[in-house]
Amino acid sequence: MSARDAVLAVWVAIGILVASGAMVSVRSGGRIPGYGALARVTTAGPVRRTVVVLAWMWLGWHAFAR
Amino acid sequence: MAHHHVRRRRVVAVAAVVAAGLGTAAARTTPFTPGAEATVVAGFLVVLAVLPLRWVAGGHVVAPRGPPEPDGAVPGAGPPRGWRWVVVVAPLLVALAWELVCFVHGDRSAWPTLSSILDGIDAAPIGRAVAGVTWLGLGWALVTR
Repeated sequence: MSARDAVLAVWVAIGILVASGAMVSVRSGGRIPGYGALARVTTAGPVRRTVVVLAWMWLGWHAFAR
Repeated sequence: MAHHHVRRRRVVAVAAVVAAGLGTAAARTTPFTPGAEATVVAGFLVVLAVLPLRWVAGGHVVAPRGPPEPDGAVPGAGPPRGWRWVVVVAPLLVALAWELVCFVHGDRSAWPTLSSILDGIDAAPIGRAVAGVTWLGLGWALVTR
């Protein structure tokens, strides 16, 4: 296994971890907040939402224009 | 209520057409070219143009489907308040930490970051179109919810 394969394997494991977080939240029946709740808290209020929109703009520039 | 449904369908239909157009445009561009920059700026303008509509509509561009969703977990149930967030915040922090580790190593071929993985998807026009529409959808959700 090359270094690249090992790094990619860690990325896959992190992806599984993130998905597991969502599943645990869904299966908790509302006792544990999910990514939707996290997004609502992160974008609550004009200042936070503006910061997130700026991050979204940077993401688009970084991914498509750079 | 019926008026809201009709209005919602119209807004979603227009948004879908715009997203398809920009997705197609994104698929035909190459990074570091004026065309790519113009496409991204068009995405900015489309999403940011929704904000005045939101103000005019009194908070919602698209009428909500049902009752407002709760802000978080059910109060008074499950683990203590702060610890509830660990389930979703910890995986994201791990991802952020690993992104930084890969970024600091510098050698993108051996230590691919999320960006360099996305570059592989972006290399194909269809991948670029899907990524572009996903990005627009994210922006749309940010300004309309």
